[in-house]
Amino acid sequence: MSDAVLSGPANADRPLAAAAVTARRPRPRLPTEETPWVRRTLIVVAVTFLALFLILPLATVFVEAFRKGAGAFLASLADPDAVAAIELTAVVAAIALPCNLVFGVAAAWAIAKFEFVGKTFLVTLIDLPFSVSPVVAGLVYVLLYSTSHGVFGPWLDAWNLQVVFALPGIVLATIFVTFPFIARELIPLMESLGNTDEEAALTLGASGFRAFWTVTLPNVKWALLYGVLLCNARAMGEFGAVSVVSGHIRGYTNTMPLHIEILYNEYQFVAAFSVASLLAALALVTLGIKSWLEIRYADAIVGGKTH
Amino acid sequence: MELDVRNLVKEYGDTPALHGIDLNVRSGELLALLGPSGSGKTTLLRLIAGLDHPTGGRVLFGGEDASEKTVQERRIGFVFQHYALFRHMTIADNIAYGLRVRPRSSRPSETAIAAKVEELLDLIQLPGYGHRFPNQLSGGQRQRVALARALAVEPRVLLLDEPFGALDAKVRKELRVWLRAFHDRTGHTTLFVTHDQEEALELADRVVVMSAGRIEQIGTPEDIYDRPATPFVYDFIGESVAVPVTVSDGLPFVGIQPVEVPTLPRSLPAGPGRLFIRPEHVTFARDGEGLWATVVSIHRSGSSRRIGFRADGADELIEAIIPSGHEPPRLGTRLALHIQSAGLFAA
Repeated sequence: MSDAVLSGPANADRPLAAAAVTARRPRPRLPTEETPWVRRTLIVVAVTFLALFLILPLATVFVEAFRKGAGAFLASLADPDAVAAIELTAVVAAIALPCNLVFGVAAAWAIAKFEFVGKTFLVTLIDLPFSVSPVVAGLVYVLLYSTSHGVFGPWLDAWNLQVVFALPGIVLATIFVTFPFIARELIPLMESLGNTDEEAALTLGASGFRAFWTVTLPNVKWALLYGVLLCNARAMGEFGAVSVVSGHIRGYTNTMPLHIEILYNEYQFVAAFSVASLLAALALVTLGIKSWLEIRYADAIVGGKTH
Repeated sequence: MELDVRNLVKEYGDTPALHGIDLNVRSGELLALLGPSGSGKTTLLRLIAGLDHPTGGRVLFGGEDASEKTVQERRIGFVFQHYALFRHMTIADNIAYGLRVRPRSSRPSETAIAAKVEELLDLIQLPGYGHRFPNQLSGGQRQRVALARALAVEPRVLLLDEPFGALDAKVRKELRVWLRAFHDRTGHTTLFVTHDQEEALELADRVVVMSAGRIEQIGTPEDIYDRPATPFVYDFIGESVAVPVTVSDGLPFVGIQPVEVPTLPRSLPAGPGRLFIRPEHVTFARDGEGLWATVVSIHRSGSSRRIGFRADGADELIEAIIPSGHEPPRLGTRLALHIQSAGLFAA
């Protein structure tokens, strides 16, 4: 029996011999590996860059916010104008998000599940807000809905409706800027999932609506949540488009980003950074949940048939 | 339940996918739709299911016209190639899905549903798997669950689209045997689509061979294999070589040599034709009457040897199969071939 021979005392020195052999030969480098020197340099460059352009500024926000202590920080947040800005931002996001949720799901459904003329064009259109400057987006709404010189101005004036320099304008601008987020998350996933699950549900007797609720939505729920998260972060942080349509009326049409800018321009640094720290915290929370979603539900977000 | 398809036509834009299909599926029959990809077999299955709308023609379930009915109303069971199990539901919830989506008036109670699920899990030999999720099951197990889910709604006809297509060879064979036994036990009228002739010939009561949107032949596996009705079937099913021949005096000629084939009718219409010959129908002798040919290749494949011949007056390689234990003829030898059976079609 060879096993018995190997474990016998005559072979007790074998591990030592094996160790000697490995010691003499350094581990060969894989073809795809770089030398330690190259690796370290690359890591240092990346970390330095991140520290200078991301971590340091982010830390500054919180340091500046608490420069005069927690009391000053809380006082600047309790300022009526700040409270109004926070409330307005929350309200805008609360309206824009559901709108984009419905639009995103509908657009993704249409694009992923059906063939129709102009489909490629629609996909391109959905990307438009990513490529158009937010200021232009804001201006477009001013030119359309301004009561003094907008296209629909006379009509709005007749009905006594205020869009620009009011909540509706801010909501419209926010929706415009944020509508790609949810659709962009859902389209690739839905395309990769195909129609078979829905068809299976239909052959089992489910109505189209029922199939959507019980099969389609559960299949895309994590990607949807991911999209909502990104959409929300952008909706609360949007500056450019909202800045054009809001009119900067303090306590009425100032969202958090606009309020921060005004405070900063008035040299109220602690107040500005206090409100800014809220937005930064929101970003960090978003990032945290986003990472968690990516780690936990990677398959369900990027698509690909896992069953 | 009996299923009838009458003059079913499907066009995608201007491209015809099915040209007037007529088909009768007997109650309790296991029928295979066999054809290469693009032959329209899956299209036909989807039209029967109501997942697609025909350009023309009718589908009848038990004599009743279902052409205008929706997929939900047709009450069919459909099994997809990639199972299409709902991944966020347990196996039990998957199987119960078709019962739970029924309107309240016809929906069974939760206890009845649970009992039905247990019964089906037993039937597919996966008892105790109800609480698991699809991704915890192997491919073969998932396909059985998909079958149970389709059966839960007590379908009138069971439609399977490449049911073994996504499985590896060993599991596919096992599941094939299992499905045949399952069908014999449950007796559902079943149509399944496949591009694998072995699967169709082994499993089905009758096979429908399709090509380019048309039915080439309908028959038992024996009919299809032994008496192919068209050149396509000869070519597609099993192995064959098509040798160009000229028919005169009621006999096919290869070059100037007449070929005697016992299975061909005595008087054949004169003209050019193609003679389809299968390797297993070719024998040879050193002398006497026959189609004289030269041995040009010898290959060993497992338990047999394939001898390639070139007949005088033809370029096509005619093959014969002999057991590997037998002494093969030497290359270049001239031998007399005997064709036991062949198909003759006008060129």
